[in-house]
Amino acid sequence: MKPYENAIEIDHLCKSYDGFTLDNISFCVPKGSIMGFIGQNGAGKSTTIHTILNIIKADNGKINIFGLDHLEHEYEIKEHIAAIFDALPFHDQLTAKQLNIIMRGIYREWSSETFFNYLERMQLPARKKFGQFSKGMKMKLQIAAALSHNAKLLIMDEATTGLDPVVRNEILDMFQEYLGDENNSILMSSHITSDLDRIADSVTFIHKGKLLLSGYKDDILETHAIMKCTKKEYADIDPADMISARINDFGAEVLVADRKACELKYKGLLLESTVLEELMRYYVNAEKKEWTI
Amino acid sequence: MIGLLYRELYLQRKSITALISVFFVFIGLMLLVYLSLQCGNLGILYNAEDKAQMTEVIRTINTYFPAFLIMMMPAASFEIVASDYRVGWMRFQRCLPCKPAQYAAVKIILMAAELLLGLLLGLGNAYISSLVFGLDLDFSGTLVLILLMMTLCCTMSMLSILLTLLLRSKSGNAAGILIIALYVGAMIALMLMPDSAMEKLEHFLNGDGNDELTIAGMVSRISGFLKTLLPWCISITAGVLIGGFFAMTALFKRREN
Repeated sequence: MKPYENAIEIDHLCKSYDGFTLDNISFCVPKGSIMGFIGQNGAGKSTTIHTILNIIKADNGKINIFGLDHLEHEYEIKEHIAAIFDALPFHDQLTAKQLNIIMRGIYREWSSETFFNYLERMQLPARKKFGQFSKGMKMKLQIAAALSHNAKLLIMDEATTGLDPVVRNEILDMFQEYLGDENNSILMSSHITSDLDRIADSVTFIHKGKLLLSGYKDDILETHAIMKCTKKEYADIDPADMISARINDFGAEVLVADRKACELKYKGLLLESTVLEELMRYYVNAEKKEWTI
Repeated sequence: MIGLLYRELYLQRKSITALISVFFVFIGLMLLVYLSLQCGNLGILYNAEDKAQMTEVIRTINTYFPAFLIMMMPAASFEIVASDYRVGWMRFQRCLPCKPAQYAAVKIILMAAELLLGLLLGLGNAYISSLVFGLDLDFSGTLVLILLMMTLCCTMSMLSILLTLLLRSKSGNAAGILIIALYVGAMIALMLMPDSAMEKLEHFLNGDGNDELTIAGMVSRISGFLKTLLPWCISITAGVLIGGFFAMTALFKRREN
């Protein structure tokens, strides 16, 4: 593969269904990073991921993976991609041993040694049928398979949903290890923002098919802040400066997108740092401008 | 592609094993019935003429029914396709570096191998049956009937698989209903045949003009007619497999809505 800067480049992606439209989505996943793709249920995360993987066809837009058009070089690209979904896509009567034989006959760079090492590390039995695996075991198995053919890009669609915190942490540790190689990248869709707070380098936030935010996580969290004020002080805040405001009996908590400018403009008001989950809540209510708990 | 072939074979192994087992069990049962007719309790119940006719019936059933059974092996594929949709494999395989033609080729290769195995087992059974039952084997007539069954089974299996793929069916019910509908339709068509057509059929089956229809006579007349179909059977089977390959490739290429 020729050198590339971004693992994924999405440019003006559009897809329409009855009652839902993915509207002009554009973002990049830089090489060697992990991007958290966040949004509510039904926001369009899975639709975007399925379009990247060519499971569904986009109406408009361009997608490049590893600098190559994702349709023209589809099979070349897929040698180096691993997709992980929320459910194990293998029949219950198969075992890990058989999965190894199947994958060895599909991927050119499949390594049985690597696969069985991961199984041993994750304490997964090689001869037990998948139907007898727990949800956590099934997810770990998918990850073991994903990491065993020298994939340069992991694409995960709600892969950690429904897992207990112990298993989720184990999985996140493995991803951080995977990113030790700067050529590897991850696109991870989730609505468990605490996982992304921990691991993501960049974040893209999608809501009702529209892109609301995209950028480096630390930059986003640094530039945004929650401004706490009384009702009187709230009345003096310019609506153009706020994303949305949560109103309570004592006053308001206002999300602002430019912390430094607001520090200078609204002297005396308390500005606090925020986290991804809060950011999501405020952005989801941006149309209403004011909302209560 | 080898990985896909292994997967398909592994998932079909139970159906294939079951059909082969039923094939041999059925033959064994027919042989036991024959032995009982010749020198057991069943032989006491019938006179010599009836025994000869019963032997002919058993031999005919034993020659053709197991062959029909074994050639339904490819039909197991449509249930695999349905369960592939259920477990999410159909979505996952779009993430693999395998082309739609490779998925289709795997199904066709396995289908062709199963039909060939069915053909060999069927012919082998017919030959051994004729030795055991001590009756002459009309090899070319038997070959034609078995090839005809192969064509029929191939066509029905292919239609089932294509229908399951077309409907993205998670249960395979549509394909099962199609098979039952074809059988029922054929039976209804036979029942609704006008009397003139029935007379023609009887005349054809009883070609020598004798009042009494015998199994041997009917089989002989049918075999003679079907010999003319021999080249068509092979061509149609090949055509179904080739056409099925292209149809499956097109269906595997489809993306989800």
